[in-house]
Amino acid sequence: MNKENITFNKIPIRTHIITDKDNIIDITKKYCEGIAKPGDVIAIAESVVAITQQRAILPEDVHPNKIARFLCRFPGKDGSLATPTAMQLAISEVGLIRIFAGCAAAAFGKIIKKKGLFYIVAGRQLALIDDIAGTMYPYERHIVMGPKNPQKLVQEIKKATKAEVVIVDVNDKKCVDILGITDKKYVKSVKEALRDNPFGNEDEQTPIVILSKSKRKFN
Amino acid sequence: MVSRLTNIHSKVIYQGETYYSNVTIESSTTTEVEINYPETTICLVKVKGIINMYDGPIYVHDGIIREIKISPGKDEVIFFIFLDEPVEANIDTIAGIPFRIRINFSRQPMTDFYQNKVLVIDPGHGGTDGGQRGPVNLWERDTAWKTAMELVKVLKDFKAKVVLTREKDENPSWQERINKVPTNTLCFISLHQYHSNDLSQRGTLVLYNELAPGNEKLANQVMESIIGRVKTPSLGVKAEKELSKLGELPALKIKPVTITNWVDEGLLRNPNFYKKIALATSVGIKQFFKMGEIGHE
Repeated sequence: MNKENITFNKIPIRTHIITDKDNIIDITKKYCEGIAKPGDVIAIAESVVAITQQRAILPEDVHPNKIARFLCRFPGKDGSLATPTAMQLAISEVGLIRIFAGCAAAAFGKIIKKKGLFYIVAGRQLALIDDIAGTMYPYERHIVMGPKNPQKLVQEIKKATKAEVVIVDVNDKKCVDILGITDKKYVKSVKEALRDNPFGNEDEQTPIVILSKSKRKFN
Repeated sequence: MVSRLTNIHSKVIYQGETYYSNVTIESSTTTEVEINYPETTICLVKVKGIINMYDGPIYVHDGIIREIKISPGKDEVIFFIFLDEPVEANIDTIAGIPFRIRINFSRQPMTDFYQNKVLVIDPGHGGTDGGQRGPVNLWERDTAWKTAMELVKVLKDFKAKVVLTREKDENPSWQERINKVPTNTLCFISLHQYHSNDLSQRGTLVLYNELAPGNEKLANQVMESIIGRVKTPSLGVKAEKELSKLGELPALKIKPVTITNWVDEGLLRNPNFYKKIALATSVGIKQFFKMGEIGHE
């Protein structure tokens, strides 16, 4: 068990609006140059990684079938699968059988008063879908899926920057979901550091936050 | 060690019982800063360091700060803060990583303009009349109410006197709403959402009272302010007969989004969207009337 207890300073970096024409490795290297050192952690918001992977999809390019139109009536209306297009993409992502299994789990969850069973059964990646208007301009017209291969990607970015790298989904409800990290010993400290969402959830344009080590304590 | 400038943001803050338009510049280490005013409405901030952040402009448009432009040099970055009002800032720094430079501009000119002025806010529909419904579940009645509450808050913060035409759960007739307008009203603002049978139609529409002199300009000013802030497509400004029942009173019917569109309905789920609409509306109205004052001079 690692006994290192790390505290980070948080340095958000203002970037341009990242699009599907950008390469996330090049961008991270460019904006972190001269700041992130070996041992620091570069945190990247999952939605921009997904955008660079062409995983932001216009609703007009999706043709929801009757099942998607029916199923989208059941999730919470403020959630990510409340529109037929988002539900159709969820079906394409994990398959209809897992969606039905998730629905059954969600129904059971209602009886036993436990939330989140849908995503546990149907697939964690569905919780990463940002429905229409869930991402900032100019991607508010898109449905943004979760990123592909985040664990492989963090290793590639580490090679380019020499710093540790994490791809995360953070929200204003203090939830931090790590999708990929180069060194697992940082998981707890990174979660703690990102709990107040230094990426921001509005117009901040800071999808990269450098977590710079501020002190080390060894018990 | 060379400072790396990493971030800049602007927002309205409340500090010591005063509102400020704040600009914060962040750098990786402690650095030097210099501030001066080449013109009364341009604040120039020079910061020693190398730029690591995106150097594109920031559209602020909060009634005090219009826009910030960034000009990176070899070992110094110049920030041009363009102001709508000739306000000088106070500046302080916060040690740490990142090192923060805080530049605060008083928002007193907004209060000076609105103080004791009467504005009537008319939240559309109400009670059993829900108005139009979005494709998922939002109603025009409820979203108009939320916008109205944010606008009331913004205007009251500027010490304006605000009259509401309806309570949350009632739906008075148009005539009953008009009857609540005091004689010394500066402006009447009715809040709705646009709707269309074409579900792909998005955007913002502002309707105006054509009997009020210059009211088309007022509508354009508010439209520009709203779409600049929330980046919705403009559906233009149009005269509306219903508003002409108010005589020559400046009056607008603002429809921030097209609720029948999936994307626009989605925007209405974000509580900050209502705050942005409210601030943008207050800025647009003030700018129109201030232009009028300058014209009279």
